[in-house]
Amino acid sequence: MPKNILDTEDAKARMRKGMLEFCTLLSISKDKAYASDILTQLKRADLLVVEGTLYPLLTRLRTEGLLTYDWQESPSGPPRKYYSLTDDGKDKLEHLKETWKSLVESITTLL
Amino acid sequence: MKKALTISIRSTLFTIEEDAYNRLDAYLKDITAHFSKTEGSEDVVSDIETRIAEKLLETKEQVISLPSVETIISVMGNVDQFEETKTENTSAKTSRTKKLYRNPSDALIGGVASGIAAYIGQDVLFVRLGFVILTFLSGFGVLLYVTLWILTPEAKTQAQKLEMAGEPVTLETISTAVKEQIRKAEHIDTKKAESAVRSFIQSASKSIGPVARITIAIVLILIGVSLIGGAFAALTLIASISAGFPLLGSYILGMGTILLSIIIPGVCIFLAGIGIIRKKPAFSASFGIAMLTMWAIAICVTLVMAARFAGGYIFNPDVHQFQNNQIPQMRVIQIRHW
Repeated sequence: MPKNILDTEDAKARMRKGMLEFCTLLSISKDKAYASDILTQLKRADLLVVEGTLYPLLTRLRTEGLLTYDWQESPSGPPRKYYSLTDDGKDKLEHLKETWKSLVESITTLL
Repeated sequence: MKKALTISIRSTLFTIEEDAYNRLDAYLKDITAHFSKTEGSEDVVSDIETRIAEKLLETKEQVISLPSVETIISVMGNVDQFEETKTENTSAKTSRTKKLYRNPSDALIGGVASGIAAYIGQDVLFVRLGFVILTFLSGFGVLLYVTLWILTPEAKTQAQKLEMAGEPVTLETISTAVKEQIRKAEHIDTKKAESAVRSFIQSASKSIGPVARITIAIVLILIGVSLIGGAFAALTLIASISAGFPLLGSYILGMGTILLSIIIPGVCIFLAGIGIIRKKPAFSASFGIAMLTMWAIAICVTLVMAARFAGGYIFNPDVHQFQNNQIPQMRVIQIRHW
């Protein structure tokens, strides 16, 4: 692959990466969600290449105290972790939302 | 016809074909090894296992087949794809790490030497010879070996074995390494059948194995005992010589630390010998570390004592003059060098 295309791909991947944390928090903010729900939303938004990416991210967000989980039995298969935002997580999401809105505004004027 | 196994993932039972199992097992080991250094690794691994279990249930297959496992793995992704960006340089960064491990698949005692050989990229024979030669220098080789044995982890998973050899840890390299092992094993089997001479050598070396083990153990025990004995003999000798002199506090402390720095390795070498005979470690890693710490402290104190003792000679005019002559010469060398 020529280098400039690779660079473009890299830039795209970085943009997605930056969005991933924001969108994960967003997908949990409305209602409690378990990994499969989050994955469905992220895939719909075309933010994930492979599903495995989500799990280290969830663990990191949890150790940062942004989200928490509780166990719920599943009708089939192993028990599920249902994630929800902590107060810190809600705060951070509000900040990210504001940043996102101002970013969209400024980029739209540039386009 | 295929062999099938029963496995439990997050307490859900699955029947799985052998090749599919091997693939899944390698994948999960790869993930476990990848996240072993990060915080909350158990969570990541168990979450991924949960997801895989759910996906396996979704296949509704009575016996899980290799194609289903391949599909699930391609959706989950390899560890190098987890890094959220798929740039060339990030994958190169993760792949070129080389780590020191003990190599259990080519071990005479603890696999320390072959681990080092893999690390420095030399033949294991030279490393072993090095240890033997160092052992003749008042048992230093044995001490070094035991220390390294305690401090370096054993390369248990295929990923760690690749890290040991400095090869990139990806599923491809793991599978080639596994295949290589299987190929080697088959190779040896056929050769054995072909050549009676080879099988004779193999059985002979098998019987030499225990003999060598016991010999090494006895040598270790003897070195240990003689170090401890020698230390106490030195203590009595010094005590009898200095009987008439007034004993200074620092003098006693110095003697004590010199003796400790000999007795501690003595005890460890002795116990290592016992451990080799019993085929299991004679002391725990924490005991080893405690001993090593004490030994290091004793060595430090000894060095400080020695420096104090030699302190009187530092202001000797000869030494002074010598230093004055040396300094300008060193400067010239430095300028040329830069």
